[in-house]
Amino acid sequence: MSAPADKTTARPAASGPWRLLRRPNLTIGGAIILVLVAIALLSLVWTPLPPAKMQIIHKLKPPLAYGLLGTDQFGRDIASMLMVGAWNSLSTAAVAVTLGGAAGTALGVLAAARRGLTEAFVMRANDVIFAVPPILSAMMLGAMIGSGRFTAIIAIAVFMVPVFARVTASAARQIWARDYVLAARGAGKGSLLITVEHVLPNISSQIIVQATIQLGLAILTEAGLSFLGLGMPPPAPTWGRMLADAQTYLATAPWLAILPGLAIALTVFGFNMLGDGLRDLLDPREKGRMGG
Amino acid sequence: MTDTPLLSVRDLSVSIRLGGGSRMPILTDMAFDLDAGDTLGVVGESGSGKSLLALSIMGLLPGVAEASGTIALAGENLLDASEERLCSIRGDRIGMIFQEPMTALNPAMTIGDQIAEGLVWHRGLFWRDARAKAVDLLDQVKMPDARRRAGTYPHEMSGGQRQRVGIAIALALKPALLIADEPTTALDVTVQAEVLDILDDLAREYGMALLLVSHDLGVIARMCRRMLVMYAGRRMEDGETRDVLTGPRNPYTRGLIAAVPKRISDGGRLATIRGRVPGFDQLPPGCVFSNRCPDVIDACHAGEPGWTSSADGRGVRCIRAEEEEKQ
Repeated sequence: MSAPADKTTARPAASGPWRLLRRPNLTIGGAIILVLVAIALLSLVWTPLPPAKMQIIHKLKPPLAYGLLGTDQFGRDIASMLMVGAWNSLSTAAVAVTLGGAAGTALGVLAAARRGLTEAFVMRANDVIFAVPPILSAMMLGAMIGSGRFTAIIAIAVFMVPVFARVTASAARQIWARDYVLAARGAGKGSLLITVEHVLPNISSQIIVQATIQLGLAILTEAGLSFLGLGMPPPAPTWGRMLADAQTYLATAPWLAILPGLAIALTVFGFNMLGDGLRDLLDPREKGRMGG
Repeated sequence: MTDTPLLSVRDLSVSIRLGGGSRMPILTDMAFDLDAGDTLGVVGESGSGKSLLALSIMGLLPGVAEASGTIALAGENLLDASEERLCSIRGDRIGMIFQEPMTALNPAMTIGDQIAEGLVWHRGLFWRDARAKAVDLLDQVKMPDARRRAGTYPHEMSGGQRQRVGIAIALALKPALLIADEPTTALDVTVQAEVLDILDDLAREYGMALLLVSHDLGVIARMCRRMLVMYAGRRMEDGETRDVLTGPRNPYTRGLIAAVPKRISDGGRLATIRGRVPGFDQLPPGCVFSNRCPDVIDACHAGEPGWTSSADGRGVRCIRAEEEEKQ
């Protein structure tokens, strides 16, 4: 009868900013992602030094010895590179998840609305796509059209399609079984209208949660592609390539590997926490279940 | 009456596909007419196929069910109509009120919009005008503070209020035929009376034909001019409500009437019909009611009695009625 929000307001003890502490996942994840997005946006207008500027005399300086986070083997400022890398990673992942999520969601609700042969075809096609790892499709695409951001985006987006298709199809099937959909059909609505008006709004929370968790995965995949040289070409700094370049200096300058590694780990952690928190918030029944 | 009735159901059978190519008949040999502005109550125990009858008229049978026969709305057979044609008929010509007001509304849409959208899609109104009309409709179903209520979501309302919203949605397009599938089952008795009053008033005012499905004889007696008694997917008796209730000709109808709790109790146990509705896969041979009928004779098991209609506008399915006819 009562909305989930009522339960929160019913407890007088938790008020103001303290209420956030009762949702630690949401708060921690949200804070990490917020800071990250702020840094990424800041890098568009300001970085401590131009990220591609080489100062050989200052090369391989540890953190705080030159700049905030030290320099790499060419004397480039690591803090600046990480900042621009944050933008490159986040924007690539966001575009990929948006594209893949939109296509997957469309396929999922189509499968749920049509059922029968359409559903079988869509879901089996998704199984086939899901079987191809994104690294492999990025390599194939790279061989065809050359590697770069576009290749990385498409490779990750294609990998996202079946994930979203499955989640939305099963959620949408449940909505289709609801009485209000029967009532809507009784009111003379076609399946397209029912999908837009009744199915999508009622599965939007699942889509949002899924998108958040998949963003973390997309960041990881993008870093993997960059590490292998399948991401954005140099000199654009990416976390993956910084990690790859750091391998040579692992013994002498470990911060070169630790810092971008930390950035990737923190980002993925942040998105996962945020996704978990959003799920608790939007879909209380799913509480405690594992994500993914 | 020489004109075609608004709704004419003939030889309607509905069967469910089972695994392995076999099918199980649910509705058999259904037939009735409903004139414009008239009211028909369909009564029967749970599991007698009442809801399936309502859904088959709407063309909303589940995928595994298959209907044959004719369901003619103003002469047009709905069973032959394309899905597209049905979409334009549903809501517009036939409205439906559902049993469960708790689940028949979209939780993610304001109730004003849910009422208004039929007007937008079927009548081409602008959203702004349709929303204003929705407030009027909420007023008509006696929703207090209709203007503010139109902007709220279903979870903010009680069951009775939601059912009134359901009625408002069904009434929005002034359909010629309104199907109400146990509209008050989920409500408590006082709210039930209120909702029935509203439904009765508005159906009269709009001149709509009402097909009311219920297991409650009291509701039928109060709302409907004619009634149809169903058992195990078959019609057992029909006629004017007053005649059927005062002079039932089928033992099943007699049993149902006897089972209505009386206000002045004789101190004994409530009357019941012994046994329960058999599953559709284990119907007794012969008359489907023969295993529970108090007046059963040997001939009842031999074959299913046909439908006997008499001159006074009544019909009955019982072997005794058949015999009377012959004499």
